[in-house]
Amino acid sequence: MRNTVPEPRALTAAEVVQRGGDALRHAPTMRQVRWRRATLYMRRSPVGIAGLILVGIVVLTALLGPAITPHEARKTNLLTRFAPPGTIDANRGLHTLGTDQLGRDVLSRIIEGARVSVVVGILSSLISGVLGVAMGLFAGFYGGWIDNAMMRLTDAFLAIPYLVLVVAVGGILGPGVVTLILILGFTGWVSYCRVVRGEVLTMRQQEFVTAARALGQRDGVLLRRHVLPNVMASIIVLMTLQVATSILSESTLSFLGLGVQPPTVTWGGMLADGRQHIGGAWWLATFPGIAITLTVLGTVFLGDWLRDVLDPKLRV
Amino acid sequence: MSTYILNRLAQAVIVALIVSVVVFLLVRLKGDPIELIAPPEFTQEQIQGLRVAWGLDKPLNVQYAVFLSRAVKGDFGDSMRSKRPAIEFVLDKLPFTFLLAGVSAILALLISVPLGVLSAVRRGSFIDLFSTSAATVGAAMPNFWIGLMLILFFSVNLRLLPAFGSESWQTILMPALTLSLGVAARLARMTRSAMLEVLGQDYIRTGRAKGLADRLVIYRHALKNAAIPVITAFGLQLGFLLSGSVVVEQVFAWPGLGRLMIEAIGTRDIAIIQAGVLWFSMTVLAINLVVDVVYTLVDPRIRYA
Repeated sequence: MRNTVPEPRALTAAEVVQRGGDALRHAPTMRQVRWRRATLYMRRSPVGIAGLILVGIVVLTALLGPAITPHEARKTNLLTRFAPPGTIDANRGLHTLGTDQLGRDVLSRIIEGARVSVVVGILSSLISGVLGVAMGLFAGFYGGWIDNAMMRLTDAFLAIPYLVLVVAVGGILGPGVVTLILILGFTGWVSYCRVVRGEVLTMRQQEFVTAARALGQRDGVLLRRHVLPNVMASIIVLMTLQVATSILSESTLSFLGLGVQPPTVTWGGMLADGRQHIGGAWWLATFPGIAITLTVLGTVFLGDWLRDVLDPKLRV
Repeated sequence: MSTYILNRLAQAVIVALIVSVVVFLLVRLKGDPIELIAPPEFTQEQIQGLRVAWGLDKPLNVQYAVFLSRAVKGDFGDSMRSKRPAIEFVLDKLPFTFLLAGVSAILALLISVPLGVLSAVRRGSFIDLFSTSAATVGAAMPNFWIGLMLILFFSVNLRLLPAFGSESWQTILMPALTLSLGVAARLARMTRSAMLEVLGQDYIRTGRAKGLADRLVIYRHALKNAAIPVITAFGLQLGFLLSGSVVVEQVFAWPGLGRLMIEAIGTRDIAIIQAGVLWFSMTVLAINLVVDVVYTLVDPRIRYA
C-alpha cells in the first residue's frame, strides 16, 4: 500500500480560528519585540554597552557600599596622612588611591561616596519628573491661558541661573540629604514640562484623542490611558539625563559646603578637601572628580542608548 | 516687526515679575524670615523691633508690594553685617562677573566654532573623532573639577599661572578657561550638527557643482546659514555661563557676584541674596531679549506675527 497524499482542500472555519490562535500564541509579544530590539541595539552600540557597564558599576558600588571598601572610610589615622597612591602601610595594608589629610583611605571614601550621588540623583529626578510631567500634560492638554501661564513660569525658572537658584535655596533651607533631594527635585522640572507640553500639544489634534473624547472618556482617564503612554519614551530619556544633571548639581553643592555635610562622605565634599591641599596632594583633587565624570558619562551614554531603543526620532 | 518686539518686551516684563515673586518667596521658604535675619542673642523685643523695621509685621501681599516698589528703584535694604545698601555690594562685584563671563564666552566661541566646523567638514576623520569625544567628556565633567585640574597643572606642576586672586591679568586666564570649556563642548556639538545639516542641502551641492572653491562654499554659504541655530544656542549658553560662574569664582577666589552670594549665604545676609539672585536673573532675561531681537534683524526669513 502506498502512502496517499491527502487532497488539498479548503480549511474549515474552525481550523482557520485554530491556526490563527496558534500563530498568535507563538508570535512575539510587544515586550519581546522591544527586548529583541534593545539587545540588538546594545550589541551594535559600544556606547550603550559602556553606559550600561559604568552605571552598573556605580549602582552596585552604591548598593554594597561599606561591604566592599578595603578600609573603613571614616577611620582616621594621623600616622599615615597624605600617603600617595600605592602606599603600603604596615598596619592597614595597601592604599591604592592614597590617603587624605586625616589619613583616611581615598578609595574607600570614593566607594562610600557613590551612595549619596546615586540616591540624590535618582530620587530628585523622580520628583522633578512627576512634577514636570504633570505640569506639561496639563499645559499641553488644556492649552489657552493655562498653557500661557505655565510657559511664563518655565521662562522665569529658566531666567534664574540654575545654580544660583539652587545655591540660594540650599543656603536658606540649610544643608542635609533630604533637603538637597527636595531642592533638586523642585527646581529640575522645567525641561520635563517643556518637552511633554510640546508633545501633548501636537497629540491633542490626533484621531485617537478625538476618538477617546467622542466615546465620552473623562479627561483624567484620557490623559492617563492614552496620552501619557505616548510621551513615556521621552520621559524615560529625560529622566536619565536629569539623573546626570542632579549628580553634577549635588557634587557642586557639596563642594561649596551647602549640600550634604560631613561626616557623610560625598565626592563633592572630597574635592573641597582636595582644593585645600592641592599644593601637596594631587590625588585628593583628582580621583573623586574622575568618579563624578565617569558616573555622569555613563548615565548620559545610557540615556542616548535608551533614546535609540525607544524612539530614534526623539529630539530630547 | 515692531509689534513682535513689543510683544516680546511685554513677555519679558511678565517673566521678570514672576522672577521677583520667586525671589520674594525664596527667603520666606522656612516661614518667618526674621529667624534668618535676627542674631541669636537678640531678645524678644529686639526681634519685634527688627520685624517692624523690615516690614515683616504686615500681610504678605503688602510685603511683596513694598519689596517690588523698592526693588525697581534698586533698593534691596541694607546688608545685615555692614550697614551699607545691599545694591552697593552687588554693583561693586558685578564688573568682575561680567568680565569673567565675557572673556569665557569669547573663549568658548573661539574653541567651539572652528572645532565644530572642522569636524563637520571632515566627518569621520581623526579630528572629528577627537573633538566629538572631547565634547562628550567635557560636558560630563563638573566645571569646578576642571578648575582644580587646571590649577594642578598650570600652578602646581608648571608654576606658570597664579591659582587664586584677581590682581594681575594672568589671574583671569584659568577661571575663564574653566568656565568656557563646558559651554564650548555643547556649542561644538551644536555647530557640528548645524553644519552637517546645511552641508547636505541642495544649494551647497549646486555651489560645489559649479566649481566654487571649497573654502568659499564652507565659509560664505554653509557657515552663514549654520550660524543661526548656533547663535540661539549661544544665547542659552550664556545663562549656563553665569550659573557656572558661581562655583568657578569660588574655586579661584575671583571676587565676583557668585562669590558674594556664597559669602552672603554664609552670613545669612538675605538682602544681598535677594539682590544677587535678582541681578543674575535680570541679566539672563536681558541677554535672551537681545538675542531674540537681533535674531529677527539678522535672519530676514523669520517673520513673527
